[in-house]
Amino acid sequence: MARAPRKKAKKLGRGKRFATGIDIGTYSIKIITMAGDDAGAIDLAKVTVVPLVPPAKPEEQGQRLERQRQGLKEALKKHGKLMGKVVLGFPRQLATTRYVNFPSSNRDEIREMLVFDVERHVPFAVDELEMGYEKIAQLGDHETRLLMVCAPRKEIIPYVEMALESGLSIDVLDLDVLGDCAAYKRSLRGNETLGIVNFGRSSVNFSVFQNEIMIFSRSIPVPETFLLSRFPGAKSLADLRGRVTIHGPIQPMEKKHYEEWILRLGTELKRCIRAFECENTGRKINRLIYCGGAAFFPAGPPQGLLKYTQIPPVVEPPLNGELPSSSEYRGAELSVAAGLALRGIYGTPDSLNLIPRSYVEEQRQNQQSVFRKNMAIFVFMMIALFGGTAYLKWHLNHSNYTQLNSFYQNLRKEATEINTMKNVVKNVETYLDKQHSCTNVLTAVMKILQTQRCYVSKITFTKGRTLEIKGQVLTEAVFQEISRELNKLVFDEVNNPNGYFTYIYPRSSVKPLSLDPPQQLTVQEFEFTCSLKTSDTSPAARR
Amino acid sequence: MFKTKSEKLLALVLLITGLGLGGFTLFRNSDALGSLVSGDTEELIQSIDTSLELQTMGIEIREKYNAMKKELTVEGTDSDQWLTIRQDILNVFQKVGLSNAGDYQRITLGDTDKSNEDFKIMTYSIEQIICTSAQLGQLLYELEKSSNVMEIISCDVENLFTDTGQLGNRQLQDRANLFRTGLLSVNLEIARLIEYRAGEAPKKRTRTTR
Repeated sequence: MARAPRKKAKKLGRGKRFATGIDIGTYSIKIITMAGDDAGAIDLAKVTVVPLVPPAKPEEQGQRLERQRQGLKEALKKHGKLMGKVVLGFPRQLATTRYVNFPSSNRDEIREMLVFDVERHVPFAVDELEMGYEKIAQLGDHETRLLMVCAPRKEIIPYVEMALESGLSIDVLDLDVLGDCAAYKRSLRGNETLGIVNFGRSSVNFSVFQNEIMIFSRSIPVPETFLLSRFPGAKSLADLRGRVTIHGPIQPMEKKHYEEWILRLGTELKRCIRAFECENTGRKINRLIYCGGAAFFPAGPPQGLLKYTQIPPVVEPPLNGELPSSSEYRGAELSVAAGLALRGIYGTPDSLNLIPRSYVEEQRQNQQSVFRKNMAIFVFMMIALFGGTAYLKWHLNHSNYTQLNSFYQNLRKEATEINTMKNVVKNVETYLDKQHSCTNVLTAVMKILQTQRCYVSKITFTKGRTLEIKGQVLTEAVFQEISRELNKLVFDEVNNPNGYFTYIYPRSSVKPLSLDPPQQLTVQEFEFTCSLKTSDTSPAARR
Repeated sequence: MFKTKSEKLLALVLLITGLGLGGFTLFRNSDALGSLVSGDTEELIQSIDTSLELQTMGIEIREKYNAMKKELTVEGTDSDQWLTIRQDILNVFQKVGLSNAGDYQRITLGDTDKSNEDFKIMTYSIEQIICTSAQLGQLLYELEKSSNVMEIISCDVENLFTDTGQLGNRQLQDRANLFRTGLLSVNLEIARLIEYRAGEAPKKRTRTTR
């Protein structure tokens, strides 16, 4: 499959920053990530729309929230990394708004005054509310006009929890109608007053803004579901294609129901417009833009509403056409998400934020506590694993060692006995030094003397000391021969390690032989003194 | 704790890596740990090998020791021991054919050396053994080679024939004629090792260099 060409990012100027707007609707989840610079140029990074699974039957709030949670998870997975500030939209119908003037320009003072003032407008205790404000205008040095927004905490918490459970870390919780206004701010023509009607599945939001400031908003409780309930099989406005024309539905029964929906919605819209005109004397709505689900009307904006609003409506993509429709979505349905992202990029410290800080802090602490607990369990597991392994290894080694030691102790007894015997044998053998015994020495010497013509008169052997041989030979040559042979018995560490002598001292002299009757015969009388070799440890050696 | 899939994956990888490294390190060092706690098995195995080698040699050593022990042990008092040894010598003399009167002059007991811790050394002298060279060879062999505990410490051999072939003693002349060979006069000094009786052994001394 050929890879789709990557969208070339628009080159933005200084101060480029990202923000992500998330609109959790009843029909679909919309996520838009965009970048903007200080000059106001914007670039859409990514748009994700995930339709929710339609309910089979009318559902409770909990069931709707569960569907939205599943959809949000899927959308986040599909969208990928959320860049920049994350702004989540909060439904207008769950909040109360008031335009008020406070005699201060100090942020802290305004917040304090807000706490006292809010009880005048809503039937809830302050500690059950989450409140915020949007600075509309600075009226002199000590007066500020604000859009005060408050909502019961019990309505906000499910959205925050939904985000937390989906792994979404939100920075700002903003009103969806403010998103609409921000999205169409770029579509303003001069000083015109623009009305926006956002068709939602559970309600229709009506808002008016001028000079980039929202000056009126109201939620109209005429949902799309009311219209779709009498069109069997239709799950969205897009499913009315072929069943509704520019003049209305074809089927008489459907036509009657359609007209009833027009009547209800038109009446409410007319009421809103009148309320706006009353609150803002002299101001008229110049243009009316239909967005949200209106993008799916098969035959354009319902003409029947014109009778009530008296203002010709248009269905227009937000961001002044920079968010056109595609095969996956219609530009107009993304107005809230796009506006929220824009508010994330260009928001100020005085912008609205309904996030319950105490609740988020509590959740963060809970998460930290769980994290510490899990880490403790993990560390304990590691210690248990290491300890267990070490113990097993030690036990194995110890049992092996014990067995070997027992075997060794038995061997050792026997070895000690053998060693004792060995020592006794060695002691006796060392003492006796049998290598250099009298028998060995005399045998070796006699072997030499027997082969020579000689007379041996005396042999004196003293163990470890000397061997003296005395005798006679006829010639000097025989004496030398005997001497040579005896020298072969001299010890030499390399050539003759078994030699018996360390050195030989030969002596000879000529002597006349005393025969009867006397004859002139002489003999060589010889004497060999041989120093005897001993083993180094023998007693003879020590002697 | 871990919300996103990538966090869970990272945690799992860290856990597996940690366990793997821990287990690897532990098993690499566990021998040292085991030795630390249980003692040095390698050293023990080496000692066992040495003992087994000694046991193999032990049969030969034991046989040698038993034979030596049998000869070393002479029961009774000093005089009993002397009588036993004297009888042994006489047996040897008889074996080599020197049992007649005049074959040797006398056998006398010499000093007893008790410097060795394992045995005492009794010395005795046999004077004027008149024998042929063949008898001398056999006698020396029987005394030294056939015994594990005896040694000849001095042997003085004199040829009874002079350089002119004369032999002074008529009785000796008869013997020389009988054997048709020369005759030798031999003086022997023999050392015999004997095991100490109970309580006889000298007190053990500390080993010092002499």
